[in-house]
Amino acid sequence: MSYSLDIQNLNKTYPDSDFRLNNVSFSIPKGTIMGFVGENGAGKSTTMNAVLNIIKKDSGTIKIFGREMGDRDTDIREQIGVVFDASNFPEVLTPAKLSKVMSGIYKQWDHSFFLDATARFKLDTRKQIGKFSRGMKMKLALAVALSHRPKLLILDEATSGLDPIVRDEVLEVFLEFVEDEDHSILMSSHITTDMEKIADYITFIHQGTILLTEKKDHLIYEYGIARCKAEQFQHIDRADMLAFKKRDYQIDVLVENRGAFERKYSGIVVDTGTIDEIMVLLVKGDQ
Amino acid sequence: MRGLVVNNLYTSRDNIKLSLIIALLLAFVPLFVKENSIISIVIAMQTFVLVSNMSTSLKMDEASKWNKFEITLPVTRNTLISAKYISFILLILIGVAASLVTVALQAMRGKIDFNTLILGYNFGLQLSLSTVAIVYPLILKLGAEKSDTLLFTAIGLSVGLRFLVWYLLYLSDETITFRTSPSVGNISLAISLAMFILSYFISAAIHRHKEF
Repeated sequence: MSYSLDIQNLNKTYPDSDFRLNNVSFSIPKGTIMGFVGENGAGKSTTMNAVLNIIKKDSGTIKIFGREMGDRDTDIREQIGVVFDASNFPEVLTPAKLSKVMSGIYKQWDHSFFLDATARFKLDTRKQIGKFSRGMKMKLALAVALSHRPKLLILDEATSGLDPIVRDEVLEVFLEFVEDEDHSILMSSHITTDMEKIADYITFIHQGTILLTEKKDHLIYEYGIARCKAEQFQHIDRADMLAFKKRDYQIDVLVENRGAFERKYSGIVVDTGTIDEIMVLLVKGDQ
Repeated sequence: MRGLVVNNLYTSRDNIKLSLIIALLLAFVPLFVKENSIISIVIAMQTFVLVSNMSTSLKMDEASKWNKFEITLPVTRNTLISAKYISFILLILIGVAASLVTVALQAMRGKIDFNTLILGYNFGLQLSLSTVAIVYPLILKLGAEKSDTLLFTAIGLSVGLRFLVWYLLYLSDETITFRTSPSVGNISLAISLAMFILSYFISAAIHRHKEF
């Protein structure tokens, strides 16, 4: 399989913090969307910053389109579009001026594509960016990220803070982007329903450690949450549970294969889980 | 590179406008002051006034996190620093261009004194180059929040450098004066130019190791 992004054993520590990225590894096959999920401070942004050389990794390898990206590998960065959780453009600029700036930076900057994108997002290209709403700023960031025809989009909380209608528009654009099989997206978000809508794979990260990388459909249709009573829980083999969490009157158990679990433990109700529920069990549950 | 310089100038545009207004108003000061030395002071201020406002655009870069975003662009970190230094040079040149109004007004009055003009440009360029040389690496290292304090400190050190050069020359030749001896200005300007070039390499090294 050919990967747009391949991260292996990425480690990063900070001198004044206990936080660390601990052997982070995952890969994004071409033509797919990877949802990167975790609580605040789990290490999503740190991982993305390491991918983009914004921070220096301590060890590990990060390959983009099969190559490690150093400072001089500007040809790789030509093929990456980046959107952070806020607009990062000088607020005194207008989108029209921003396009002039970007056309002097990206070899492949497509001004007419940018104009089409801003028209699609109903952005006034003569209005100062500082006067845009948050949703408009995020749309502008997305228009900029797409207008140099990248093959990999890296989106750090790009949909957070957007209203559902704008989010839906933006997710639509992401899906259009990966219609080209050479294109991929790494997307972090707190909003796991977005992931359920568009991601092909989900990676869970917690306290700097990857808990799980799995196909989204597999998580939703194969994984399950068994709702057990205390006496039922006693009879479950530990090898059959990924995580469990005690509630008031039941114990929720995350299982990898719902069908097999149901066959093995008849009488226990096993529900399909949402990404949210699975994340809570992986992060807050016992293992 | 071109896009980065254009961006730097766009973000400085309001400051350039304000500084040009100040520079143009300053051009009229010699009309009301009889002391001839005011012309060199006005020219020095006009040359320096644009670059002295650089901290505002650096603060904007930091507030919008553009300085983080630009690392994701297809340029090297050295190019980012080069674009900044080219922008500083352009600001100084715009300041020099604005000061030509003073020269033109003096020419119209028939009061052109080349020694006074050279002294003014010499001091303005020395102040601009050494201030940028000191302040930009420090802003990169410590953050734009402290830029105003750093700027005033750098201006003080730049003037101090000129005093130091004068004092060292004075020790060997008592006829050398701070204001009128060309050697004081020329040596100070040469040192400031060297500092500016050295500052570029220091800034590039700081940026290479900087995490955002």
